[in-house]
Amino acid sequence: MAPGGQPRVRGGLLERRGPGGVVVLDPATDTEPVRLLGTAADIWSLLRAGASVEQVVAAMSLRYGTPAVSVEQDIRSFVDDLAARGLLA
Amino acid sequence: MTSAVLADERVGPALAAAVAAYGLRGARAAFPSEPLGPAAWGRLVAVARTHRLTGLLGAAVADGELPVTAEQEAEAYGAQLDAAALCLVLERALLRAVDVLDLAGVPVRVLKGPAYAQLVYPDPIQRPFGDIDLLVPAGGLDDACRQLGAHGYRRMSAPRRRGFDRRFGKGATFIGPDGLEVDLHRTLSPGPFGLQVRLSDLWAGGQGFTVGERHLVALDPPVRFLHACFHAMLGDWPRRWVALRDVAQTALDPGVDADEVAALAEAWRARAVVARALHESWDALGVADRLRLHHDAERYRPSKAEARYLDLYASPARHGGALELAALRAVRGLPAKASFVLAHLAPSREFRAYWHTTRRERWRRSLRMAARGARE
Repeated sequence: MAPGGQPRVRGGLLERRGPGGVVVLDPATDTEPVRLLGTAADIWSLLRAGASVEQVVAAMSLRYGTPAVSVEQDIRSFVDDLAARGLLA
Repeated sequence: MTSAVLADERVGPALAAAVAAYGLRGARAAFPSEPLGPAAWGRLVAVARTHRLTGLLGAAVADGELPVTAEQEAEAYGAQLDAAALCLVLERALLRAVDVLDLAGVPVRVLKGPAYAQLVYPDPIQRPFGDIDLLVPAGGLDDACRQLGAHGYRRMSAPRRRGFDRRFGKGATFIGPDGLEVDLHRTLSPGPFGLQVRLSDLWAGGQGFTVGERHLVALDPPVRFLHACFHAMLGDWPRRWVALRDVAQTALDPGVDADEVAALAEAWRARAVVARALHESWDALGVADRLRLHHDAERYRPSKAEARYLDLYASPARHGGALELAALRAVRGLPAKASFVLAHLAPSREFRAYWHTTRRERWRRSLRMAARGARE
């Protein structure tokens, strides 16, 4: 993901979604599947639906009744982590 | 239910059946009204893992149909995601194997788990699987084996004799560079019923689906239903719950035409397989609704030979050479029968090396396999 760019879930990923979370795998790599549970799965769903980081922050803040400023840093770190794993373009 | 699927169950047939039938139209099995105790719950999860029911178990819990404690809920979802993670790794292996076969120009149909998950079940997470099965044309089997070998796939055993696989075999099993199993199939089962399949029917039509961004092709729905029947009745013994569920799930596919199925089953001399698969699946899963497919199945009376063959697949003797003996009767023409017999009496050196070198050791191995089959 380009610095400051809009994160987009990469095409061609393998994915399963269940009530307990999401597992994602990039078939072009030899990495293990990534498990996303709880809020991580929620954020992934929002990103998959095309939300920007700002929209994710707003949605998560509303969903959990937490001020946006207190979740924004965690969400940005998580998005960076997903990008580092090659799951975001 | 008479099937050995329950022989080693200590969970209670009704509960295992309720999970196996969960979400199926017309299923009558009921769940308990209270959460299970720790021991019974542990056994249920173990059965779900063994019988590839973790996807359905998670769905039953998520829908509130199976009452659970908070801890049990977390365990059910964890088991579901464990199986899902393995499926993704296997789907990656599937894409890589198909790419390799593409290089050799070998056409492929995706069989069983990966296709059922994407095309037949309401949600792919409901249908876990444990290996990759690919159908290749009989004439392309040797090329496919060579191509996989050139790309680091290791064949589990050598061909019995040159040309045997493509004429008489079920297929070949490979272990990929990633350590995962890839089974190449020429036909749908070993033994007499596999030899009676009209192979051209397997390649008619086909149903497309996507894994990642890759377009793949599965069997046509009627043929896919027949394959589910073959696998449930002629495959693993003791039977797996998921195989019985696959029969019901594929039967309910709107693309399955009862007349077409009947015609194919007749041509393959497999009406007995279909009749027994429908009977056992509906009985085990407790499904009330009968389909048009049942009309033919319930009228059909297998011949003595068909009943004997069916029993053979479900017996330890299948490992001791009895299946091959039965298969000989299904081989057509004297020259072909002679080749088949020769391949069994004088297998290739590589085949003997894999299955031990001396006749005495082969016998001992066969006996061990038969004993293992009996224990299982």
